[in-house]
Amino acid sequence: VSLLDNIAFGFSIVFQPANLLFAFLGVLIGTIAGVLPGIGAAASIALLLPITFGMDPTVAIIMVAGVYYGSMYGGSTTSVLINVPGEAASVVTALDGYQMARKGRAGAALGMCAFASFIAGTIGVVFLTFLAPALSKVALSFGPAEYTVLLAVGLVCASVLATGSRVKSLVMVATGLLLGVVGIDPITGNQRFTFGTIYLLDGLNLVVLVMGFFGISQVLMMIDEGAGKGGIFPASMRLRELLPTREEWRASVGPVTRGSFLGFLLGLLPGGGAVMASFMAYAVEKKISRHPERFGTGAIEGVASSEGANNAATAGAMVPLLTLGIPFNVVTGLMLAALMIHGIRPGPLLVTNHPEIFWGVIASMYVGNLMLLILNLPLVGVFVQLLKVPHRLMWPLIVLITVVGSFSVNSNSWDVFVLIASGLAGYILRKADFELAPLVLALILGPQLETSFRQALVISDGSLATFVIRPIAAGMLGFLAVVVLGVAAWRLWRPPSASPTSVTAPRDPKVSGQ
Amino acid sequence: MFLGVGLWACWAAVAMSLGSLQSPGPGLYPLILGVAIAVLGAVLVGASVLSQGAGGEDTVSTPRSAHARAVAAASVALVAYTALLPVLGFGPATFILLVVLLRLGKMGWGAAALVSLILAAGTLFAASLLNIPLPVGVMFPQTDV
Repeated sequence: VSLLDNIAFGFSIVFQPANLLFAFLGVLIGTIAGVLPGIGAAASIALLLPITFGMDPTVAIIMVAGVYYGSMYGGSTTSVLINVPGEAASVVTALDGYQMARKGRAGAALGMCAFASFIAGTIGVVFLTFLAPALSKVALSFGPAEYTVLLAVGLVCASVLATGSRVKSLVMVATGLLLGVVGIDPITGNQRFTFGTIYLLDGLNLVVLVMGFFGISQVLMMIDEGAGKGGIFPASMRLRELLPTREEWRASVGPVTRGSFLGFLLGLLPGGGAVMASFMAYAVEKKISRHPERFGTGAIEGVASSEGANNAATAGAMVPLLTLGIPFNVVTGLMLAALMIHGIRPGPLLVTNHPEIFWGVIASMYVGNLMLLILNLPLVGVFVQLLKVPHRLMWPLIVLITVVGSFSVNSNSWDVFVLIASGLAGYILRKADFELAPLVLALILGPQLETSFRQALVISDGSLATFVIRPIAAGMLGFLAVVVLGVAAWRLWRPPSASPTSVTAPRDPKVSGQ
Repeated sequence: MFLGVGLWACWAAVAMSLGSLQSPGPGLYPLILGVAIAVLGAVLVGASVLSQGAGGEDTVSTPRSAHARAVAAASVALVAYTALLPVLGFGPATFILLVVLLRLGKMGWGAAALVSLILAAGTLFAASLLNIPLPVGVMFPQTDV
């Protein structure tokens, strides 16, 4: 009964006109970001962060969450039509979606993407609704030792399970953590890595860095790709038959449902998230299908499972953020940043201290998914037109937004310098195949990791055993060991060329986050 | 890639000396990170040396950019922008930067100038409405190093 009350309370928040408007804006921006290759959820949220300063925190998080799951809808559109996934999580959708389009079933594939996304997104939010409050209660018993281990495990898993080189990802994590150290030591007050400047006393500004890493570096990546592109467009496609046939529906019910469960579970885990969820769901469907040979040639089950999984995963990824205050991927990390700007620290107490945020954002995801279904079905043609806009027009716009955004943080010219510098550094790193997502996630979580680490050491009187002896911490370390060994075994056992990533060439999945 | 590795090694060195010089309180955690970066950097160097020794041609792919000159030009423009910003102020500096970027995007001079003018002026106007203080120029705001 009380759960129902809470959900009703959440909906009463969402249906306030301002919240409804910004939920709509969020899913709209998310869809556009998803459609545009190269601009992902992480980049667009980074650009939006300065705008959220002036907002009510509830409005801000509702909008940012909308961008997140909205991008999952948009990302599938380009996968199907031009075989260029707008999001890393839509790479698998392209495998069968594009083949369907070539067979003249583009409409059905797009329609199934929208329906699968909606169904799985909603299932995911239902799980979130029931699981999150319960987990909040468990998380109340976490001490600094548990948080230290959880943060460390989360960061290591996020890089071990990343798509690129694991060592490189770990380097990025450590670097991100180090960048988080800059400024005054929160416990002793010593200056660290400030090089004697006043500017660095407050530490590097998170928002400015994130805009540099995701915004400016993306502009340079786009310039790198060349100015000529932009006008790519599918030959011809009829959007009249957006509704899948009854047969296609029947084939898809199972994949969507299984994809939802799998996606939500993987979204919960450190290092999981939408990308892995879509790959796993696709692999599972292929395994249990009676006609596995159809996969890759335009099987609607493939589209349904991957789109279902990546949307459910976004709901799953919200659970650790809302209950522990610990995001496990970079996009939820940016949501944490958006809340921290307002001085709100998500965690086990969020549900009691800020029920309007907790239940508001959950309820907004029901409404937002519905908006997205309405937005994506009839208007898919409009979004496809966006691909006609040459992306060189986006360079100056992104630069402008990030520069003005940097000023709006502190009105300090040094922030622009940091913005440009991090943009150039980010570009060089990406050219050298270093992923920026682990870096940014570590940057966001770094200060909390250090504080809990030192608190735990103080409590345990300097004994490192505290991280191993306490049962929850030990359990999480065990989980880490299983993941690391599992990944190592999998890579050894599996022939290196069999990776499904090699099938398609996403233009730039790296920065789009998960 | 080698540049990246060199960067890490350098950073790690800074981190380690700082960690060991200061009292264990504030330095401990950066020290751990510094060691981690150094070790991982060494692994990366080792891996690349090994793969080079194996003689594979494509194992070590030096990152080459298809439009290196455009990227270099944009980078120079961005760096120059940070230098010009306190001198010229937001309006003119941004105008110049946008013109350069649009030119890199193969837009004609006239169109680039017009679009940049509209964008820069529009941003100034919007910023004044939203009370975001943008640097006016010449007065060298907040360069208190």
